[in-house]
Amino acid sequence: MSILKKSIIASAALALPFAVSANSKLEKMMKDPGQWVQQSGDYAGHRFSNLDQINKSNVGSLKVAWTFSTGVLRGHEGGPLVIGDVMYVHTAIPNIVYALDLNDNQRIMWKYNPVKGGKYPGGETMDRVISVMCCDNVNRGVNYHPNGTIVLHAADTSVIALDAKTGKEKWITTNLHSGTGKYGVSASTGSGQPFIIKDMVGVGCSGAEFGVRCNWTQYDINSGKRLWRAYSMGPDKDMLVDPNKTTSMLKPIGKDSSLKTWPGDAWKIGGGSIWGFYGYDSKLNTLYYGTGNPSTWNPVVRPGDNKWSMTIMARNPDNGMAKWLYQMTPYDEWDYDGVNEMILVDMKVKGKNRQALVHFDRNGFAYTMDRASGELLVAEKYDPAVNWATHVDMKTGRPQVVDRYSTAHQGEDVNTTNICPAALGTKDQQPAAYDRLSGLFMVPTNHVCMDYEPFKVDYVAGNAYVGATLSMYPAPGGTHLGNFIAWDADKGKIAWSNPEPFSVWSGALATAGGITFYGTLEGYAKAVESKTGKELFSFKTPSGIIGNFMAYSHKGKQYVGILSGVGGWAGIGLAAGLTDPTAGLGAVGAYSALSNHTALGGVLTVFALP
Amino acid sequence: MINKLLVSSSLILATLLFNKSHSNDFPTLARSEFVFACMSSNASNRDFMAKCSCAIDEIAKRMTFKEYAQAEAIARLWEGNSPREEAFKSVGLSKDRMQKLFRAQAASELECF
Repeated sequence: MSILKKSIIASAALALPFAVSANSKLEKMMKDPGQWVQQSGDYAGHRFSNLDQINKSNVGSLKVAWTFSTGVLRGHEGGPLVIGDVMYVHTAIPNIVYALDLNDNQRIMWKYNPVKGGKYPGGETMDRVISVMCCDNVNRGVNYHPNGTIVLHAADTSVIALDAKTGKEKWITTNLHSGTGKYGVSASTGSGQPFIIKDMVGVGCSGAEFGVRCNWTQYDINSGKRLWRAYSMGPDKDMLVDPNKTTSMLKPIGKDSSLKTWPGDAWKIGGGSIWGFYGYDSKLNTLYYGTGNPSTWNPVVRPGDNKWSMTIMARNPDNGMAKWLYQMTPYDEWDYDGVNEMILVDMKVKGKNRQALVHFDRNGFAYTMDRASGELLVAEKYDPAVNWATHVDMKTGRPQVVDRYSTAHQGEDVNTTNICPAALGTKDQQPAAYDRLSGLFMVPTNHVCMDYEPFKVDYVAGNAYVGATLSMYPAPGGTHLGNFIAWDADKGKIAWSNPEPFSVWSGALATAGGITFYGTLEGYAKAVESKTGKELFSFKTPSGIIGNFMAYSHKGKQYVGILSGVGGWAGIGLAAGLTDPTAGLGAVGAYSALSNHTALGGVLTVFALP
Repeated sequence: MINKLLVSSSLILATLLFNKSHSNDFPTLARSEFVFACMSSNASNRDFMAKCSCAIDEIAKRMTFKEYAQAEAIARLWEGNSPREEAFKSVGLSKDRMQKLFRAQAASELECF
């Protein structure tokens, strides 16, 4: 899109009432395939690029156009944004944001680091924050608001609005800084993207492993003022639900729907974190997100459905009121967080046109719902190995749990074996893509089972509160730990499936070129034909890939970008340990000596045709 | 005499098997990266350039690049302690690959240092 066209759109948008303008402007930008303006590409979470310069006949000759080293160790999830001629790249803790000038050899225009003097804006030290991060030091990326703001949700839960041009702080608010911890600190952390709707930005929270009660909080984009907060569990007024109007399985949820499902006040440390990828439908004016596991992991101490953990929530983003809820895994016994992405697709389901929501849950079922009404349409296993439930009862919406795999049924200090999927789920947060050409969903998956032994824990705020011992292994009958699959969300069937030696933890990107990109833990960036799964391209990036693919165009050329970086020990670490083989992977001293080596950190690799 | 014959024929057999299963297929980039890291953690001089080059060549003789890349991925994950990393500490594939890597590393240590 030319600059002239952009400014016409901008001025046209300004003429409309303000609340509408930001939305429509951002939505217009999402339709421009040259830019990548939101983590998922668009509100619907399709992760589909309309660019087709790179296609199935030429993707085999794809080359590295340029790389950028973030200089930060550990896992790099999420992906960069492209707004106009500027790319925004984020990192794992300390959550640095870079603005790169695509017109000038990716020169760093500005660099922002929220950690100053070892401390995050909320006052926590970086070390303390790292100690309460559940699952590596990840961050799932920044987002953009058309008033010229880049928003970062930092690991200490600070929401930071930056001037997109200069990187200067516009405002900072620390979402959950008061905390409930014994140490006067919050055990909540931030890893999920900040989600822009109209002139608001919303954030979830992480930390269910630490006995927090999580929530979604919505802020004003211009001032940072808090607008509303909706807890995942607790009294109706805390959760922003209307007992008579909010529905589940098409029926009103009734009074105290959450409180009734917890023993005593266990809901106060009930978990239900929110850190996945979210969806928004501007026509229905509805925000969709999923809540995570109930705390503690030991189910014996929290009999009941533990509502509304493990739930898809549909809310009015203006006031937070819930329209409908659907709990996928009542009384979770396996840590099957319901946080995974919400993909909004208008499609035929069982012969009827539907405004659908498709969700690949950690519990191994793929759900197709009517996103307007919350009606459950399809719930089928997307890995045949899934065994903890036989099926989902379509009348009640409840999974039919198999006693043999019920850790609560087996009891405390009993090792329940061969449960599929493992706690990390058939799929974790790594988002699937929707291929608009074939109508298939491109899904990165785990193929891992586990033994699970719950034990009693006493809660100390700010300390890990897991209460279960796990061991995991490949699903029976194979040695591979992952599959990359294509899913038919109408029929509830796998269209094709490519085995991968490791779990696929990178987000997928489908394109109008008839190809889908994904990455592997060995670091291979791959392209497959979307219709068949046939591998067309493979390139080894410097580290394992857990980031999400994105695409943009610059000066008429299509580019595809991916962050790699799992941190820890790369091949480089193996070499470092060489002179003391018995030290093996524990040679931390040698490792720190390598800190100046760029290959240690996360690397953005950008591909283009030669 | 018979013993010697047995030994030499099994050596030949071993050599044949060895050549068949190990294609010595490491890309130069992977070797360079290893040498660079090995020199960085030991000493950046000509002596260690030779030793480290020797080491990666010895490792490359003993495993395929695919196996090495998998071992590398597992090694990275072993450092973490989140649930998803836990998955990789007990799996058979991890044990096999890491054992093979450690053996290759030990052999390269003997050959080159």
